[in-house]
Amino acid sequence: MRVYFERRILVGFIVAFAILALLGVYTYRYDRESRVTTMLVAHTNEVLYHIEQLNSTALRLEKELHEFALTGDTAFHSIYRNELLTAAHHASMLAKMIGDNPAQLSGLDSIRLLGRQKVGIIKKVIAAGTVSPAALRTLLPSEENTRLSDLLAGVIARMKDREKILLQHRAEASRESESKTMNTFMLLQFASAILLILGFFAINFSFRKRMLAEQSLQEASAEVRDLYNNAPCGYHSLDHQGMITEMNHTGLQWLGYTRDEIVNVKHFTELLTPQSQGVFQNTFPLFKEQGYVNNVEFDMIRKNGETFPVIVNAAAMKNENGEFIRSRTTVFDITERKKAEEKVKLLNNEMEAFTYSVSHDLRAPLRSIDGYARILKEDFGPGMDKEANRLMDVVMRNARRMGKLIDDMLDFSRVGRKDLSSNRIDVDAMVDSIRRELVEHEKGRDIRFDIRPLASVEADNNLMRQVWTNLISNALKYTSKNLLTEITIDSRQENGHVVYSIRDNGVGFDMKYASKLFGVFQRLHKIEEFDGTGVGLALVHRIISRHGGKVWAESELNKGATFSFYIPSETNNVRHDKQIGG
Amino acid sequence: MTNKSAVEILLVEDNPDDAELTIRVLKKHNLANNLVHLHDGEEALKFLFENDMNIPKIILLDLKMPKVDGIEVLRKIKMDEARKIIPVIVLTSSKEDRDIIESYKLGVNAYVVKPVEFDKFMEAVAQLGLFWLLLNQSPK
Repeated sequence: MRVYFERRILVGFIVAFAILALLGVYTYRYDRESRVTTMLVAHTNEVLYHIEQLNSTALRLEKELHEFALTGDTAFHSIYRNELLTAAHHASMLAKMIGDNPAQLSGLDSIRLLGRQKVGIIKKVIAAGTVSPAALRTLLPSEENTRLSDLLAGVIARMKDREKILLQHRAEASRESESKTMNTFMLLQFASAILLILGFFAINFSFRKRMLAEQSLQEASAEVRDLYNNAPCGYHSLDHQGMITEMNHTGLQWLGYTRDEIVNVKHFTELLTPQSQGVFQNTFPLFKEQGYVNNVEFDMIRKNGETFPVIVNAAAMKNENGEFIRSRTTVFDITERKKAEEKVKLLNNEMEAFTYSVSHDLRAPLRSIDGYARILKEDFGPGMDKEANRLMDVVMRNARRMGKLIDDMLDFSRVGRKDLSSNRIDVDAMVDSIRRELVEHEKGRDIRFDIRPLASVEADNNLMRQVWTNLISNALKYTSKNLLTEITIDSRQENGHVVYSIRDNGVGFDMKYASKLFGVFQRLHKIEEFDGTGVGLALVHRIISRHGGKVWAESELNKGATFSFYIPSETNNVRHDKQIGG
Repeated sequence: MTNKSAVEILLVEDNPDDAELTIRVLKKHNLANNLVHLHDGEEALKFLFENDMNIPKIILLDLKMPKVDGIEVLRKIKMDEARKIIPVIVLTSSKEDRDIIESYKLGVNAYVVKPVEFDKFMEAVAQLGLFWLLLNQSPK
C-alpha cells in the first residue's frame, strides 16, 4: 500500500519538474520573440525617421528656393549644397534599411528620380539667377516645379503609410504572441499549483499512514513484551556458556531477584542446587547439539535460599551456519505437582502395605481352616457320619473359595500398580500356547478352535498373557455345557487399530447386563452354574485400559458371546513423541 | 547323617498352625526326625550364630515374622562365610514380587508360596523335603 502511494508522489514530482522545464523553455522563447519584435519596431521607427528627414529636407529646400527666387540672395548656393548632402545621406540610410522590402525600395527609387528632376529645376533657377532677378521670376513659380513637389510629397506620404501599416502589423503580432504565451504561462502555473496541492495531500496521507502503522507496531510489540514478561511460566535465554541473557518478570519473581542482578550477571548453574548442576552439565551440551530439550527437571534456588522444583523445555536459536546463539527456555514451577506426586507415592505405599498384609495375614488363617478340616477328615472322617463329612467339605470348599478370591483381588490390585513393560508380542504363539495349556484341563470335551492368523502387538507380555488366558478360559467355561464347543479367534484392522476378537457358542448373556460385565466381583451367573470370582473380566478390562485400549462384548442369551479389544499401537505414540520433540 | 542328633531341618515359622501343618507333612514322610522349630528371626539368629555346631541341612524360613523378619535372617546367613552354604528355602504366604526378588538377590535357594489349599500345601512341603534332603547333593 505504502509503496503505491510513494510511486504516485514520485510521478507527481516528475510531472511538476516537466512543467517547470516547460515554463523555462517558454520564458526563453518569449524573451527572444519580444526582443525580435522590439528590434523590428525600432527599425520601423528609424525608417520612418529617415523618410521624415527626407520629407523635411525637401520642404526646406523648396522654401529656400522660393525665397532665393524672391531675393536672389546667393547664400542659397551653400544652403542648397548642404541640403542636398543631407538628402543623400538619409536616402542611402533608407536604402540600407529597406533592402528587404521591394515596395518601399521602388518608392525610394521614385523619390530619387523626382529629386534629380527637382535638382535639374534648381540648377536652372540658380543659372537664371546669375543672369538677372527678372529671369528668375519667369522660372518661379512654375507649373513644373509644383507638380514635382506634389509628386514627391505623395511618394513620401505613401512610404510613410506603408511603414506605419507594417509597424501596426508587427505590434499586433507581438501582442498576439504575448497573450498566447501569457495563457500558456497561466495554464502551466495553474497545473503546477494543483500538483503542489495534490502532492501535499499525498505526502500528508502517506505520512499519517506511516505514523499509524508505527503506532500499531509499537502496540503489538508492547503486547508481545507483556506476554513474555507476565506469562504464567518463566522464560529465559542462555548463551552458549550458560550465562543468562534474558529473563521474564515471572521467572524473576519466582527467584526473588531483580533483572539487574540476573541478566548478564549470573550463570544458570548459580541458580541450581548442586545435584541439578550435575543434570545441567550433562544436558546442556546435548541440548546445544540437538537443538531442543524436553521435560528436564531441576531444583532452583531462590534469592532467600529456598528451593523449588521446575520442569524445563528449551529450543535453541541457531545462526545460518547452524551455530548455537542462545536458548529459548520455558520454566514451569512444579511444586504443586511434586506435592501431589508425594501424596500419590504415600498412598501407593499404604496401599502396598495393605495388600501385603492381606496377602499374608488373610491367607494364613484360611490355610489353617482348610488344613485342620482336612486333618479332621483324614484322622476322624471314617468315624463320623456322612452328614458330618459333607459339612467338613463345605468348610474346606469355602476356605478355598475365599483363598481364590483373595488371590484374584491381589492380582487385580497388582495390575493397577505394576509398571508396564513394552514388547512386540507374537500373538499367534501366545494364543496357541495358552490354548494348549487350558485344553489340558478340559479332557473329554469336544472343542473346536478356529484360530486365524493374528497380528502382533506392542504391549506388556505378562499382562497380555493374562488377558488371553482369561478370555479363552472364559470362553471354555461358558461353553462347558455344550456338546460341541466352537471358539473362533481372529484379528482385523478397524479405524486404524488392530481389533482382536474371540467368539464362542456358549450360553452368552443378556446385553442389558453388558455394563456389569467388566466390574469387579460382578457375576452374571450363579456359582452353581459356573464357578468363578468375578475378577477375570475386570482384570482384562483393567489391563486393556492401562494400555490405553478398549474392550467390549456382544452377545445374545444362549447364542454365544464375542469379546473384542484393541490396544493403540506403540509406534503411533513414538511418532507423536518425535513430533513434539522436533 | 553322620551324627544322628545333628539338626537336619530348621523351621523358622511364627504361625503355630502353619508350623504344625508343616511338621505333620514332614513327619508323614519321615523327614522330621531332627527338626527344630523356632518362632521368629531373633531365635533363629541366636540358634545359628551362637553355636557353631548348629548347621542344619536345610532351613525352611517364613518371611513375615515379629522382631527380626525372614529377609534379615536370610541376609545374615548368606553374608556369613561358614553358613552361606546352607540351603535356605523361603516358605511364605507372600506372593509379592518385591519379596521374591529381594530373596533371590540375597541368594535364597528356593522360594515357595504356601498354597491356601491344604492338599496342595502338603504336596509342596513333601516335595520340598524330599528334594532338599534326599535328592539334592549339598556341600559337606
